[in-house]
Amino acid sequence: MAEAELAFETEGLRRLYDGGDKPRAALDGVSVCIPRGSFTVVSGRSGSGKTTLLTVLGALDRGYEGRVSILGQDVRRMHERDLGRLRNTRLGFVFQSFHLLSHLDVLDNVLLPSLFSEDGRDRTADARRALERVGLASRAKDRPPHLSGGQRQRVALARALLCSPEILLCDEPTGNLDRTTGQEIVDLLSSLHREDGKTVVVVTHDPTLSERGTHRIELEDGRVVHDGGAQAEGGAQAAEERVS
Amino acid sequence: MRLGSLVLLVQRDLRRSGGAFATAGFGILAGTAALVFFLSLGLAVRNVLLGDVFPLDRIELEPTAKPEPGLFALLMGSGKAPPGIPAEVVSRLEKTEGVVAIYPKLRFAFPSGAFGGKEIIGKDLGTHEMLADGVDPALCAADVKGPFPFVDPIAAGAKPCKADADCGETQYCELPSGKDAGLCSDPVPVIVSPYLVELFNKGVAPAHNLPPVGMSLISRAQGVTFRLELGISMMGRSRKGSPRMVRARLVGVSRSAIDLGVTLPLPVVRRWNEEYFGPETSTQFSSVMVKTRSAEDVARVIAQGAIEGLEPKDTRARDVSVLVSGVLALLSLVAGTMLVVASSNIAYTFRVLIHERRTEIGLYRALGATPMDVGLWVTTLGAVVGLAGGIAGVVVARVAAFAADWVAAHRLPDFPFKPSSFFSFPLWLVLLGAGFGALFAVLGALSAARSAARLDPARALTEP
Repeated sequence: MAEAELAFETEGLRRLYDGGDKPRAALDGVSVCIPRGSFTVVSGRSGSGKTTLLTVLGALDRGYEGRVSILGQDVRRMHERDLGRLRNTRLGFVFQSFHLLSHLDVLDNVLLPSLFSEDGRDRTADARRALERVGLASRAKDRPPHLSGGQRQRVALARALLCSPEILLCDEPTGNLDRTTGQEIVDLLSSLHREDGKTVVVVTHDPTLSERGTHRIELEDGRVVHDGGAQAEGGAQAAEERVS
Repeated sequence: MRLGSLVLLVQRDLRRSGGAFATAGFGILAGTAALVFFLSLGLAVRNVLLGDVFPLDRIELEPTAKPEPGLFALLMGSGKAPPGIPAEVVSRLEKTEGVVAIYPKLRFAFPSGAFGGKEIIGKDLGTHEMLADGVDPALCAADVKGPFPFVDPIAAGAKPCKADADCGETQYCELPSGKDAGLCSDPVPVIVSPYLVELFNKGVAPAHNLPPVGMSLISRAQGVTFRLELGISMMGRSRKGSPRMVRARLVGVSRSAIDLGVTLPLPVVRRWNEEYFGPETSTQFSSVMVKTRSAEDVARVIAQGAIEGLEPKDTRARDVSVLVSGVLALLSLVAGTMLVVASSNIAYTFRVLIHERRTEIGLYRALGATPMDVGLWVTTLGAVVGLAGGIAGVVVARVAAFAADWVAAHRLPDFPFKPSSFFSFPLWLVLLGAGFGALFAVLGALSAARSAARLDPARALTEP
C-alpha cells in the first residue's frame, strides 16, 4: 500500500511505562497501517494498550520507540510547532470524558481549537455549522453542565470537527453513555465517515461500534493480534490483513 | 499562539479564577506598596535634606583646623589673622575635574551687631553679637530677584560725604574709621538663609510672642533696612578702627547665605576687615564654596582640598547622605523580602492551578497548542496578576502617603524645613513599582509555566 494512502503507519512501536521493579510495555512491537478514509476500530481488553496507541497516533505521546507516521510524515522528525499545526488542522479528538470546559458555553467550547490556529480566522460560523451537524445548534449558549452525556459528547464531536480535520481519533466515545445515546454517537461517527469521507479511528469496547468498522485492530497485552478488514454496515472494503 | 488568543485565554482565566489570583496578587500588592511607600518617603526626605538642608552637589572648604592653642594663648590672644586661603589655591581648586564654579568667602574679622526688623515683625530686635560672611555676589545671584542688587553699594562716582545728612534719605555716608570724608552709599545689601528664617519662626518667635515670618512675608519685606554696628559687640571692641553704624538692606533669602548671621557682598567685607583688623585679612579668603557637576565629583574636590591644606567645613551632607541611603536600603530590603515571599506565593498558587488544570492543558495540546504556547499562557497570566498587584500596590502606597501627609500636617508639630509632603512620587517610581510587581510575579510563575509546558498531554487526558 502506498504511503500517501495511509492515514497512519507504525513500525515496531514500543511504549514503556514505569511499572515498579521493571518497565511495563503498554505497546510492544506494534506495526499497523490505517488507510485513509477507513473507519478503524481498535479493540481489546482493558490495559491492552488501545488508548496508548491512540495517543501515539494523535502525536500526543512521543515517548515511544519505533516509527510512527501520520499522513506520510514521520512524527519524530516533526517540530512541536508542526505537530501543533497537524493536531489543530488535520486531527480531531473525541474523548470518553468529553473534556468540555464547564466555564465556557457550548459555542465557546466548540471554538476552542480556533485559539490555536495560525490563520486567525473567525470560525464562529464554522462552529455553528458543526453544532448543526451534531444536532445542537439550539444549545449554543448553554453551559456543558446543563447538557446530557450524549449532548456533551456531541459538543465534543462538534469541537473536533471545527477545523474540518481529515482524521477523527475517538477514545471510547460511547464509554460514558447509555446504549441509546451511544448509538446516536455511533451513527454520527458513521455518517461522518460515510458522507464526509473522514478517516475515523475509534478505540472502543462497544460491540455496536466495532460492527461499523471497515478496519479492525485488536490488541492484547500491547501486541496486535488482529489487523485487517472488518465487516461493516453496508459492506466494507477489506483492508490489508496484517498480524504482528 | 496569536496575541488575540492569548488575551482571550488570560481574560477567561482572570474571570474564572479571580479569587485565587487576587489572593496570589495580594502579596505582590503588599510588597509593591511597601517598596513604593518607603522609596517615595526616602526620596522626599532625601530631597529636603540633601536639596534644602545639606546640599550635596556643593562643598565648602576651609583651612584645616590648627591644634588647640591652649589656655594661655587663648587668654593672651594671638592677635594674628585667622588662617586663610590664598587666591592661587582658589585658582588651582577651580581647575579640579568636575568643578562647575568656585565662590570664595570672607568672614567678618571684627566684632559687630545688628538692630532692626520693625518693618517685618512690628518691633525692633537686635543682637549685640553678630556673625557675618562675605560671599562672591555671583553665588547668590539666582536667589536675589528683587529690585535691589546684591553688589558692593559704593559705585564709581559716588558723592563724597562727611555725614549721613550729606547723602539724602535713601543713602548713608560710608565713612571709614579715622577718615575725614567718605562716600555716599546705598544701604549694604544683605541676604539671610532660610534656616535662619526657620529658626526665628520655630524658636525665637514663640519665645518672644512674635508672629512667625513666612516666606511670602519675607519676600514682601525685601528692601527693608536695618542697622549694622561695626567694630564693637558685647564681647568687646575691635583691635583697630572706631565703632560706627552703617545701614543695611535685606535683599533676599538664599541657601548660600550663612546659616546663623548675615551675608554681604565680599568686597564690602574685605573693605571692613581691612578697616577693623588690618590688611592681612584682605588678601586671603576664609573659605571657598565649590559647586560640582554632581555629588560624585565632591569626593575629588575634597581630595584636592586636602592637598591644599583644606578640609570640608561641614560633613553633615555626607553623613546624612550615608544615613538616608542606609535607611532606604534597609527599608527596600524589607519590601524586597515581601516581594520574594509574594513571588513564592505566586509560585505555589500557579503550581496548584496547573495541577488542577492539567486535563485542560492536555486538551489545549490536543487541540493544537505547543508547549511554548502553554508556557507563554501561564507566564502571561503571572505577569498580568503581578502587574495588577503592582499597580494596586502603587495606588495603596499613594493613598497611604496621603494619609501619612495628612497626619503629619495635622498632628506633627512644626519644625525647621518641615516639608509640605513627606513623599515624592516621580513617574519612574510608579513604573518601577508596577514593573517590580510584574517581574516578581513572572519569576514566581516561571516554574509553573515550565511544568505546564512539559506536561504530558497523553497522561493528562487519559489518567483520572
